[in-house]
Amino acid sequence: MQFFICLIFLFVLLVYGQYSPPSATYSTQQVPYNWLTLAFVGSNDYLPRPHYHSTDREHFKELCRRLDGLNPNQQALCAENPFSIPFVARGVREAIRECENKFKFERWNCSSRDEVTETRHGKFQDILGKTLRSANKEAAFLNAIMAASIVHSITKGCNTGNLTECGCDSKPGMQRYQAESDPSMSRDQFSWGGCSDNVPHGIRYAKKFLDDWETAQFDKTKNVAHLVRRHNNFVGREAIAQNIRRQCRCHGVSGSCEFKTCWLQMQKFSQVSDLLKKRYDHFAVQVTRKATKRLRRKERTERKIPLRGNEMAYVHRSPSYCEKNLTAGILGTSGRECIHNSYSSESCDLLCCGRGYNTRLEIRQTQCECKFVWCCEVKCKTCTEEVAVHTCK
Amino acid sequence: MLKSTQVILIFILLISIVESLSWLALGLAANRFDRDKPGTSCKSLKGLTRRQMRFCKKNIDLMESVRSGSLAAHAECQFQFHKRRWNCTLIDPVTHEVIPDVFLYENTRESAFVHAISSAAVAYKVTRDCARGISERCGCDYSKNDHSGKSQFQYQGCSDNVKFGIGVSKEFVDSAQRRVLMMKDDNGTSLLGPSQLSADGMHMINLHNNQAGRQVLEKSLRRECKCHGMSGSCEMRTCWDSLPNFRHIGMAIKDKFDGAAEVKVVKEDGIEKPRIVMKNSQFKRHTNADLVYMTPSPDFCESDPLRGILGTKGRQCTLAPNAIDDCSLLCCGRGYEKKVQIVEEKCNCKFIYCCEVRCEPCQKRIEKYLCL
Repeated sequence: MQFFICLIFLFVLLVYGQYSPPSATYSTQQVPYNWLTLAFVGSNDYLPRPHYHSTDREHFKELCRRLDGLNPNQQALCAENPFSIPFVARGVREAIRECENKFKFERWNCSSRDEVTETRHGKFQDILGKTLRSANKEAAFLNAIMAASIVHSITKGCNTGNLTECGCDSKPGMQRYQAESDPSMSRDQFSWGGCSDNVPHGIRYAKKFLDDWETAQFDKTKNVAHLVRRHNNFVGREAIAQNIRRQCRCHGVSGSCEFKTCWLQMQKFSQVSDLLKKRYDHFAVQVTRKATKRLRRKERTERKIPLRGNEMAYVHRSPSYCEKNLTAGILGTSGRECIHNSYSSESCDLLCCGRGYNTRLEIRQTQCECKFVWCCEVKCKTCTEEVAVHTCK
Repeated sequence: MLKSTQVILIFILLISIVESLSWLALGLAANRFDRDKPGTSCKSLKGLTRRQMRFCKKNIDLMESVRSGSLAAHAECQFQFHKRRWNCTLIDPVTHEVIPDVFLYENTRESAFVHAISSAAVAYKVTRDCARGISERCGCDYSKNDHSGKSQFQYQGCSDNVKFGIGVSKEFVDSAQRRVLMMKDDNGTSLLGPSQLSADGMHMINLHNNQAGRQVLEKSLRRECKCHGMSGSCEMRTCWDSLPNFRHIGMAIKDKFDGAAEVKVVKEDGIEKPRIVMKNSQFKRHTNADLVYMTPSPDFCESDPLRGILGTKGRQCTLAPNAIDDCSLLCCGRGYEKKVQIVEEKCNCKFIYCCEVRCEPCQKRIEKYLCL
């Protein structure tokens, strides 16, 4: 009998041992992993001050633990490089802004109904979470642009000297790059100089921040969504790596190009997002629902062709995004502003999914008949005009 | 007692309302109109109200134009809607009768479109036939030619006689709306129950939309000129107003359909006639050329034979996101199936002297997507 009680006791201990104390994992149990919430991390809430406990790793760890939505890998990376997190956050903000710009006139306008949960560290908003976790085309775009934004902003951080663990690229010749468009310039001898963008470091960081977790999860669960996400992260990084340009400056006698110094530079982020939007529009490939090692195209005749770095991958076809569906986080196009007399996707017919539109008259004040008055002033009149605003039903 | 009369009234109204579009099947009537025997010719036509029958007997010479108008209206409606969930299925291909789509008689947006396009089509075809000289009663419209133009010599061309066409359309299409029976009690005051008001309102809405269709037609008149001065200079010219292709009018009315206003009919004390007012006063008020509707449309996803809705099962869709016939929109999220057809085609054609064209047979794969 005593033996029996002992056994039960042991069993209870074992079961409890499986769970860690609830207070410690409060946030991780409540909220899903969504690192886009870093968008809310301003420099005020998160300040890893170097002079304060600068050697104390525990302090950084604690700071990182407060960032809800980071997965354990990202938490570790944060504790290792605490100063990189504000750059990641800046990247996310920029990526969301670009995404909203590029999708302004489409049925999915890079918005979703985000759930907000109360955690120990404040409010947690699951930014674009439902879209991000589904494996459709929009998720593919989001993953790609987010990965690109990390590479971009970390690289910029290295370049400007705000990040201590990296600097300008010392071996720019090792990178893939495109020389200037002018062929007469590219033939000349040149020496590397200036500060080349350290894209390889940005890529390494983004890989660690995003890919390691997906790889580990895929090995564990064999869920193809992880592979898809990893691939789309790769597409995002490639969008930057494929478009590095060599910039040069001549400093021969009176500006001749006898001596030339060159350095490497990334494209502007808006151009990168343009490129990714094109890939979303034209180079998105549906892949099979199951995969053992690598992604395979769904199209039977093309199964053998591996996915390229400019092709986004998705598993499920997207919903129409026309009607509101709060469980899926879809806001619907009702109430969206549309453009009359247009034939592209922002036209009232297409954006409103055939439901029609309402017209409202708005009085707008604009400055008009501006004149330059000597010296030095510009005087304008205010004109009121009535503008018809169309919104979807 | 009152209740039972109301039930009968509703029943009568339902039948009469159903008839408001049934003349559209006219286009499929096979027999020709015999001008010498208007009585028998008209009686063989299906779907006309008593007033329309009277019109037919009086104006048998115009009936050919009216018929081609009904055909044009049906064709244009099918063209404008062929990619949408409701694809303008109006006429039963077997019985050649107008399908009693109940939702079309509930003053939905779709019904507004059908009313507008049909009245515009009749006016259009009558006008065109006038200009062609088919009818003796109408000719060109010379009233619009002004002589204050820039050039010295301006000759009157044959303007399309829209006024006549519109008059005919008014007479014929509007007579499809039966007059509402006004019930009066013993004291002579009208008995306006809610159903009576709504039936009255329905007719008002239909008449408004008929009128809107004709307004769109009138506004689409364009001035065309031909210069015949020295070596083609415009010293002398002939001008006339002409109607564009009917496709343009169809597009314009489809545009009105997209921007149609949701309205209600209100009866105010002291004013005999009910008024059409916007349901949401924040939005811009509709004009005479705008379509109006009272009942929001169903989503047309699932078939509902009682209401005349066919559903989108089996419809062909495309895989273009943001398109109007995108599979996820057209199939209402039910999914779609891919069908592959292999079609034999002629290809690699060569001309062999003389005179033969030789081709090779080729197989072409056509992929089709159909809603589940």
